[in-house]
Order: sequence, then C-alpha cells, then structure tokens
Amino acid sequence: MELLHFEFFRNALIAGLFVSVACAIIGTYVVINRIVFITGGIAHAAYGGIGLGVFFGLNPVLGAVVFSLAAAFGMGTVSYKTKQRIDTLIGVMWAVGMAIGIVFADLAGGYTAGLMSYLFGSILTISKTDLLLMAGLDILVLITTGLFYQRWLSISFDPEFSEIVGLPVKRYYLLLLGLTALTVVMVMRMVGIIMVIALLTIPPAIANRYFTSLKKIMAFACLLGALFTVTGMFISFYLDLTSGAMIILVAGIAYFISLGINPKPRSSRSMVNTGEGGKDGIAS
Amino acid sequence: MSKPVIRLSNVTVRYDGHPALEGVSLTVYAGDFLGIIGPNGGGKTTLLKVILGLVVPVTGRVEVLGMAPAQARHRIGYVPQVMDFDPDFPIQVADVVRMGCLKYLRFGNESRRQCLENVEEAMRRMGVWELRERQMGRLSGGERQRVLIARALVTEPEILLLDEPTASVDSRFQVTIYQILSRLNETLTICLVSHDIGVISSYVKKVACLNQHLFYHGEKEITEEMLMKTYRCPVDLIAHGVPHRVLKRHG
Repeated sequence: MELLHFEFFRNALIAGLFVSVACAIIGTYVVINRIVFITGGIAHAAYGGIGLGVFFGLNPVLGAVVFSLAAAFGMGTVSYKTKQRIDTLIGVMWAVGMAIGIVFADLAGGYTAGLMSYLFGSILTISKTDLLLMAGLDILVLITTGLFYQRWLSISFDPEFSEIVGLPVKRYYLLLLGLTALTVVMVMRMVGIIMVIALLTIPPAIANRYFTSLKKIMAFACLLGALFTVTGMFISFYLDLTSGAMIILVAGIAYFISLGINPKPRSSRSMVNTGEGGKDGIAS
Repeated sequence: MSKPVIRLSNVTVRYDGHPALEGVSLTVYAGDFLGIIGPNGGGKTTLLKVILGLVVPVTGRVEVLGMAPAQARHRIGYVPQVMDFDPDFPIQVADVVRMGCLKYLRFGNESRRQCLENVEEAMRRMGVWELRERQMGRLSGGERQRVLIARALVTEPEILLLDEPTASVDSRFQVTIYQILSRLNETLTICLVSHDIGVISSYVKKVACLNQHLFYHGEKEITEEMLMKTYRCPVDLIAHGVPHRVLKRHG
C-alpha cells in the first residue's frame, strides 16, 4: 500500500474511478445500440487529431476531441441514413484517422515517442487538469442521462416508434455519439486508443447478463469498471507491466469467466394467468 | 359513407431503383378494419411506412387525416413486427408501454402525467399489467404483441396500423388477438398487413392484396384473380371460419 504515497498513483486511481462512471453509462448505450465498432472508429480517428495537435504545437487532447467529434457526427449521420454498408465507412475512418496522426507526427519531427502514450495509455501522465476534465465529463454524462434516460432508452429500443411519437431521434442519437466521442478521448488517457472499446463495452456486457433494467446495468458496470481499473493498476505496478493492457486483461478475464456463470433466468415464464399458456413462442 | 382517413393515390416507392410499391392507390375510411395480404417482400411494411411518413414515395400523393403523413403520424398507433426486436435488449415491459407517453412531451408535464396514468389502463386492457416488470425479450410472441398494442393505445390514436400482428403468435391465440382488435375497431380505424392469408379471418371487414401492385375493391371478398395477380401462382386457399368465408365459393 506504500504505492498510495505516490501522488501519480493516487491520481491514477482517482482517474480510474472517474473513467468507470462515464464508461459504464455511455458503454451501456454503446452495447445496446450495437455501435461498438462505430465507437472503435471514433477512437482511432481521434489519433489524427493528436498528430495534428502535435504538428501545430497545440494540445494533442484538444485535437483528439475535435477529430473524434467530427468522426462521431460523420458516422452518426451516415449510419442513421443507411443501416447497411456502414462497416466499410467505419473501417476507412478508422485507418485514415490513424494514418493522418502518424504522418503529421512524422512531419512534426523531433521527439514523438510521447505519442505512444495515446496508443497504449499511460496513467503516469495523468495530471490534476485531466482529473478535473474527467470529473467534468462525468457530471455532464450524469446530467444528460438523468434528463434523457427515457428518450435514449426509447430511441435505442425502437427508433421508428420514437420518431412517430415525435421525438427528434436523429438529434438524440447524435448527442449520444457526441458524448461517446468525449468519453472515448477521456478513456484513451487511461488505456490508450487501441483498448478503449474494451473498457467501454466489457463492463456493460457483463452487467447485461445479470440485470434487465438499464439503470441497474449502468450501476453494476460502474462497479465492475472501478474494480477492473484498480485491480489492473495494482497488478501492473507490482509486475512492472503496461497498466492499460493489464486493466483490459483483467476485464477480459472477468468477461470470459462471466460467460460461464449462470445468467439471469432466461425462461422465467410468469405464473400469472394472462390468458395464454406458456408455449406460444416463435412461430415464424 | 364515413370520411376517408388515409388516401394514397398512385404511390410508387423504389429502393435503390428496385420497385417496392408500384402505382398504389388506396382509400381507407373511418371505422374500417382493413386487412392487406401479400407475399413476403411484396411491399407490405413499406406501405405502412409510407402512411407513417417514414418512407417518402418517388411519385404519388399521400394524405393522412387530411394532412401530410409526417404531420399526422402522431395520431397513428403503430404496432411493428414483434420479431424486429433484439430479445436481449434490457427493457422492462412497463418501459416499452411508457414510450407512448413521449408523444406528450411537447404538450407539457400535465398531459404527460395523465398519459402515465393511462399506461396502467392500457396494460390491463391488453392483459399485460402483471408482466410489467418482466424483460420484454423474455415474453412469448403473443405477450409481446399485446405489449406493443398497449404501447400504441397509450398514444390515443385514431388509426391503428399493425405489421404482421399474428406472425409470432401461436395459432391458438391468433383468435385472441383478432378478438382484441375487433373490440378496438369499435372506436378505431384499423389497418393491418400479413403474409398469411389464413389469418385474415372473419374479423376483418375488408381485404386487399398487395404485391408491389395493390388489388382492392373496397370489399371483403378476395377474388381468385386478385390472388393470381398477387401471388403469381394459383393459391390453394382453405377458408377458415366458414360462416364468414373470405373466398368466394368455388364453382
């Protein structure tokens, strides 16, 4: 526990807890909307912004925010229009974003090894400012989810019906993707671009196996996220291994274990008399 | 004659150049209970989406309750296909029905609160109140169907549109669904589509056939000519519920 005497480690632990909150809430929406790969595309496109940020001598995180938001709105608009063939576009943005980042980092010249921390994450570099930004994003995510809980649930479950009852579905969908982009940039500081989607999706995916209400899934995912980041950090310190990768490994192992643990009862047909028997399942 | 509530004239819809609907004209009057049958891929769901203003036709005119569909759609209760939904989606039955109340967001909190009270009534009416805390995807097809009807009723619609309402319902309970719809038809105009000729039972008042083209005479009877054109092959049809047979007697 002498680790806790180091300020950077305390910062990293707090960051892990902050990240878990936004990850759990946004990750739940990502999982139920099946936009895991759009989220991956957003994360990798962000690298282009990092490269440009370095090249123009600006804050790379600012560049990442701009690029990830642009990617989110671009892919969001296209995926909203056509449900098919979006995977090709995601793949292209994924790779082109990375390519832009690499080329501009080359052009910037000088010492660019620091950019590795964006790819693989580095909890050593997390500053007080980062913590403030993370806390701010958590508050933003909590407030918007509190306001739009029912609406986001509706557009995720049945966008067409939501549109018929008069919800501006596209606007809410893009707002969700925008928050996803900001969360991705924040998580990137912890575990790196390459592993962002794992930390966003594994906790809600596990929680979804045991809970049926969105609120409970978010709460449980938050606990899991905190557990994974803290456990991963301690292991990585004692074994002197990359912390981001260790966090993801812990999460991944938990995911595979959860696959073996009995999920919520699948066939708990109600005993109430509803005018029908139990066996009128899928007929077509 | 009661007043027309849905009016389509010469509507054509194409997806990437492929025709989904060709020159469809249809008038539905207040109080109608219209069943539209046709093969899979015959444009049935597209027709409903045109009425809802979710699909815009390349040619033709659509009028719902005297307005453009997008303006009128909040007065339509839409019941989509049960099988369109992800069974693992974490949503409870009550939350599904409450979606109907989103309609009242723009009318202020008072009418929304009113609506939330209607949720219980609609769920009891459909016999799904006891299931309110269950996960939607864990219900049987028939139960889910009734939840979706309850959700549509919460919006207090004037027209009810149903997409394959009996496709995922065990044949024993298809009658139950039709009895429910028949009762609703006392106050609502109902229009449903189905690929299953057999389910267009004695409850429906009028029948149309759709396979890109629409064949409709404003009557209940399906002629053999309509079926030939719709299915492009002779369909051997056993008319259930003999007292109200849909098909003309042979010979």
